[in-house]
Amino acid sequence: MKSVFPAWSCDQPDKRRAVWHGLLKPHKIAYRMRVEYTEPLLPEGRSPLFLQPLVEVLDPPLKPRFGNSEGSLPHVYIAHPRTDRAGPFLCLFDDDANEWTPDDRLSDTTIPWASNWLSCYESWQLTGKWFGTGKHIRSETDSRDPDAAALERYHGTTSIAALTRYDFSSP
Amino acid sequence: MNVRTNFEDYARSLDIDPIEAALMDVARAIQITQSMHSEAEAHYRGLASHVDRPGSPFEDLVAEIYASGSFAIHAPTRSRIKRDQHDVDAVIELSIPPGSDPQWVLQTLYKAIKGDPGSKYHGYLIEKNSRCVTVTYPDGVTVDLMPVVRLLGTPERVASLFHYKPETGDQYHKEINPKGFADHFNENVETNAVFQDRFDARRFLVDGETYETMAKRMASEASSRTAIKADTQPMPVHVPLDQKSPRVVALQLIKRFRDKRFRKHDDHSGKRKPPSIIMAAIALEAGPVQDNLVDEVVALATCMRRRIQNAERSLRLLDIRNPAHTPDVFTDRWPEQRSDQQLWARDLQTLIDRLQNLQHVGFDPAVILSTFDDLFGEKAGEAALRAYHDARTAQLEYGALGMKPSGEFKPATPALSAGVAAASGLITPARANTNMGGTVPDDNCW
Repeated sequence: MKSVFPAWSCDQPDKRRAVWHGLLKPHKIAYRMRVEYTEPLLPEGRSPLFLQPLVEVLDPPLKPRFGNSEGSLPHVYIAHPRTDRAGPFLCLFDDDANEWTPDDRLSDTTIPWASNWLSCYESWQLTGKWFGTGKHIRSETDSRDPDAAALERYHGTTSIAALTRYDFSSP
Repeated sequence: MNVRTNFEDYARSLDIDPIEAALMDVARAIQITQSMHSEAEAHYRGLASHVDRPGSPFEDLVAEIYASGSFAIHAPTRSRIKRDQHDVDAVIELSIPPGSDPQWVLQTLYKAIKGDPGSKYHGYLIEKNSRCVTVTYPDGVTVDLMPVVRLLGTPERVASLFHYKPETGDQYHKEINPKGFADHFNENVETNAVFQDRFDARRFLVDGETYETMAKRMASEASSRTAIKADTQPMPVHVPLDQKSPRVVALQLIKRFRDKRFRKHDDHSGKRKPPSIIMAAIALEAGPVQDNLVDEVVALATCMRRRIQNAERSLRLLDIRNPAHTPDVFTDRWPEQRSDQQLWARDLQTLIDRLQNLQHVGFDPAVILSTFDDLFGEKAGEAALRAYHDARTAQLEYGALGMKPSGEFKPATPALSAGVAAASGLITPARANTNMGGTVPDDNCW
C-alpha cells in the first residue's frame, strides 16, 4: 500500500490491524476514505466476508435515496461483526465467485474496486440506477425476518438494516 | 492471432477521451438499426404498390419510388430513443401531366392510400400536408410520401412537386431533384477510417459486438423469421455512412439537437424547424472532416452558424441551393424571416458552447447528464452514463483498465499480472469484481 499509495496515511492500532486514510477521486469529487484490515490468524478459519477489509467513505458522507428501486444505498453493509463502527462499509466482491481472498493485495483489489464503486455511486445518485456490476443477495427460499421484509418494502430492495447476524465463521 | 481478435484487443485498450466516447454513445442511441432501415424501405415500397394497385385513382401511374431526405443520405435518426420510431421521406414519381392541379394531386394521393373500408391502410392515420401525405404505421413509424412528376428533357431525376396550402389557398409547382442531391451527397461526403475504427471499437466495448457482427446477427434473425430465405447466401455487410463518416454522425446529432430545441423550448414553439436538407447541403461545404466527433459537431455547427452570419451581414435570408440542381432552392420555406435564422444561429452557438465546456471540464457524471439531457433530451445523459459503465466493466474484465493513485481510471495495455505497470504508472486491478449487496438480512448485507 505504501509504495503504491504514498499519500495515504497508515496507523497500526495493534499488531495485526492497520488503518489507512486517503483520498480517492474517480471524477471531480474527492472522497476521504478509511480502510481497515486485520491480518487473520492462520487457524482462524473465517470466511473472506468476515476477513475482508472494511472500506468506509468518511467525507463527503454517502447520501441515501429513499424509495429507490436499487435500495436507499445499494451495495453496502450497514454493519460488520468485526467492528463496532457504524458503517456503512462498501460491498466490493462476490464471495461466491471467490473474487477476494486474504492473499490479495489491497492495492490492486480493494482500493481500485472502491474507486470504481464511487464512480458507480455518483451515477446512481444522479439517475437512481446502478450501472456497475452488482448483485443483490437473496436467499433461495427468501425466508426473511418479517421485520426485515417490511423495512425492505419501506426503504427499497437493498436498504435493510441487518437484523440477524450472518455466520461469518463458515469457511 | 486473427484480425478479429486484434480488433477486440484494440477496442478494449483504446484510449478514447471520455467526452468523445460519451458523444459516440449518444450518437449510437439515436441511430436506426439495419432492420429498422429495411422495414422502412418495405413500408414505402408497399405504399407505392398500394397506390399503383388496380382500382386506385393512380392505378398503373406510379413510375418510381425512392427515399429522399435523411433516409437517402444514410442519416436518419430515431424520433424516440427508447422506441423503434423514425420518420421516412419518400418520393413517389407519378406519370401524370406536370401541370396537374396541386390540390387535386395531393387529394387523389390521399384517397389512393386511404382506399376502401377494409383495405390495408384505411384504418391508418393518414394526413395531407402542403407537399406530401403522411402515413403513420401502428408501430409509430411515419412515411412522408411526396408526389412528383419527372420533367422530361432535364438532368437525371429532376422533377416537379405539388404545393397546396388550404389555409392560404397558396399553390404552385416547384422544380426539385432530391435523388440528385442524395447521390451527390453520398458521393462527396468524406469518410474517415480513424473515426470508423474508433466508433466501431466503442460499439464493441459497450454492446459487445461490432457493426459487422450486429448486422449479420440481425440478418440471421430476420431470415429465421422468414423460413423460405434459409438457402440464400449471406450477403457481405454494407457499412453505411453513419458508421464511417463523422460528418454524417455529426449531422444526426445536430438534427437531434434541433428537434429537442423546437419541441421543448417555448421561444421555438410554433416555428418551423430548419430543414435537414439545408444542414446536409452546408455539411458538404464544411471542409475536411475531423477524426474526433466532438470536434466535428463543433466544426459543422460553426460552419452553419457562419453561413447565417454571412447572410445577416447583408441583411438577407440564407440562400442554400441543391448542389446537384441549382434551380432547386432548399431555403424556399425556411427561413421565412431573419429572426428564424437568428434563432437557429443562437441555438448552434449554445450547442458549440456546451460541447466545448464539456471538453474543458472533462468527464464529470453530473455535467454529462445535465448537458446531454439538455442538448439531446430523452435521457440521452443517462444512456451515456450507462454506456460509460458498461465499457468500463468490459475493460476491467479484460484487465485493460488501470487506476491512477488518485483514483481515476485510464485504459491500459492488458497487464500480464496485477500491480503497477512501471511505464504507465497505472494500478491494474487483479481482477474484475462484483459490487455486492442484497436483501438477505441474515448475511448482514443491505
